[in-house]
Amino acid sequence: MPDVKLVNITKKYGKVVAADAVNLQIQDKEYVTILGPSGCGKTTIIKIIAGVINPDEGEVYINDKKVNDVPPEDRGVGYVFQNIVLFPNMNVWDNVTYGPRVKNLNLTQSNKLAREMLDLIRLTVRSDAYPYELSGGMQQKVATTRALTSGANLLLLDEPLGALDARVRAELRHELRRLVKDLGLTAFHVTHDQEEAMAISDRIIIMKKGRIIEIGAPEELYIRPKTIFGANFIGEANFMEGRVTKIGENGVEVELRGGLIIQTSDKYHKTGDKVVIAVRPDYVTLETGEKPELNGLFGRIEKRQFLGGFTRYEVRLDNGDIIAVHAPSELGEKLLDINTRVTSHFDPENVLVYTYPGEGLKTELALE
Amino acid sequence: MPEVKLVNVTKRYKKITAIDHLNLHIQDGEYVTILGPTGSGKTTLLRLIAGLVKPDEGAIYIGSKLVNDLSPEERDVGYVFQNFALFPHLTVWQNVTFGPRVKYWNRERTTSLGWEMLEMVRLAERANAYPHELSGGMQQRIALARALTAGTKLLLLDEPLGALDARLRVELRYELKKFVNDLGLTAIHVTHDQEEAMTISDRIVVLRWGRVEQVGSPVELYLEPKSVFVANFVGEANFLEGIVEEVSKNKASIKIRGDLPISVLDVTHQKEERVVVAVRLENMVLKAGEVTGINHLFGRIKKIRFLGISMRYDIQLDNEDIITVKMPTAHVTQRFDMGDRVTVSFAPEKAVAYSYPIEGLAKELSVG
Repeated sequence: MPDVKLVNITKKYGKVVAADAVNLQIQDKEYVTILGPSGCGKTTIIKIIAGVINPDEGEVYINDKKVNDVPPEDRGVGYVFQNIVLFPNMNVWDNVTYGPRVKNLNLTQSNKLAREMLDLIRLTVRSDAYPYELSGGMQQKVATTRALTSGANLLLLDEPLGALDARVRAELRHELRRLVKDLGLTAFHVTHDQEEAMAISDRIIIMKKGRIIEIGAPEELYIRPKTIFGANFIGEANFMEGRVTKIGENGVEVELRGGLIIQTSDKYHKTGDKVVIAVRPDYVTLETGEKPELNGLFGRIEKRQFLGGFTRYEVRLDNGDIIAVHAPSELGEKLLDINTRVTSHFDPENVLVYTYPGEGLKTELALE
Repeated sequence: MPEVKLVNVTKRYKKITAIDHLNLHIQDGEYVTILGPTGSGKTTLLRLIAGLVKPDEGAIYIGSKLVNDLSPEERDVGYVFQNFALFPHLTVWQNVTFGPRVKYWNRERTTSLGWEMLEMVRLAERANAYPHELSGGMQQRIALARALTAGTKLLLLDEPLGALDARLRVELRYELKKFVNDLGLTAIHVTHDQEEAMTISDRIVVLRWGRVEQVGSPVELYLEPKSVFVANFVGEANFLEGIVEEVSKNKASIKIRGDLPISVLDVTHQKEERVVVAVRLENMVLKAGEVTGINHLFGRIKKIRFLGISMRYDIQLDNEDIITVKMPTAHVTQRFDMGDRVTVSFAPEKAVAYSYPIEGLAKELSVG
């Protein structure tokens, strides 16, 4: 049963620390994605599990067995890398059924799976084609199919859908998850696409500069991100700096620039703490005019963008800050005009409160 | 005055007609995106305007000048590719001022324009760096600065953000739009990312099989797609096949599979016509249990997906059709579980009826 454990893994390339004392445990049959900006070390982690590169320090376990000294081919993993590696001298069918053939597995079963997979990726008619006759996207689909049919229980996928068109990618990701689940595999999937990670993962690992920043189920990460980086990297948020002025009954009160007071449901911070509050644009509502109410902030609409399912407004608050608001498109509702005087409002439960980061907010939010 | 006009332009590559009698008029100062699936001719269209390929038929005008016989250099356009294409052996500064130097502009003007553009993309302090020392996002900003320093008023962008991380792409597209506006340029931007197109365009050109399927502002395309293809490609929709049973002044009664009656605001179709009814995912309302009413359909929850900003439910209707409902996470008041019995409904004015596509619905919806 392929559970995977990384203990204190460190890997350096010259001065760059690609993995910095990483600890991680993945359960059997879990679908886990690693998400992070380029250069965060996500590919390094997956390559260390595959055995393609060795860590400088730390241990890798697959099924409770230490595999640091086990070569890649003996680790029992199927993998798909960004730069597709099909056998150029074999056609699609031979590529896809290669694993079971060399391992003398039950061919009836693996051939059936291969056929089903080729059908699914709509490449049955290209079974006889050679890799060079296929587009990059097609090759990537074939490589993924080969990994799935290889008989390995642990699947390592490095941007397996990266070379495909956005719409095709969205279709295939669900199929990928379904197959992994149907076959009872454990999958470890590297991506830089937030939505992809949200859609297919049991758990998501967010990485930055070689470190794990946060791990959680998609909903946890979206609704209650534990870090500023997490709140910014998954979805979008308005960040405002402030200071805790009072500990109220239901949570701390935060004073923002210009003396604006915000009620939160946070119970962890103390009076005097310098904090950053975060509110997702979709949790902010707008009303016309000035409505004095709890967490009601007055301002003027500065920008408006119709985005289909919702309209995005940017409101310049009276304290000079800008707050983004996503208003769902309601039936027959008029859009608000630029310069309209509005009150933006959000509930205390939807305000996230973080300790002000040591290196400043800007550094914390930087994606590169 | 860089307005761009294409009159009856055709371009063939052997048997493939990449651009097919295409007509298009882009105004001075407009930001236009060309949106379409792989193979629709987007890049060919851009290369025709740039002068990198020559049309087999038709006329191309930039300003009011016929440019068919002008070389790319003589057309005075800036071109930014997906893969940055900076000169690797030149520094940032040398890259950015390359155009003016080969054109022997006076040094003072080149220097001031170069700095101005570097300041604008916020990379002035990296002027002495080489491309490989910069991140992907920085390289693309340099490529943009280089295109702009060449003094062009017409900017052609081929998937300029395509090679960047998803989150960074979102940030840079706002910047890109701002640069173009601030400098008063005309921009033609090729993308396959419909969200990107929705966010930055004055107008979107939807391309299919080398022809213009529809041109319009994001709002127009979203609210009034002219075809099933556009309804599917710009935004997402559910499609229900049916036959018109009756027509009244402004409504059509349509029977969908399983003889279920629905009502649609429509003046164009006739009795007994075969149609496809499109309803946007976010215009579907989900209620628990069986609730009767106009356009209320019963079914069961088959799939639940959490995508951060939105939740999606797939519902298998009693007639076996599958409907997807999308709702903003922030506005979800009731959660549903797999297998729950539910009612899906939509308002007649939120549904659009199209004539059944000649080549079948599946072909019309295919994007890959």
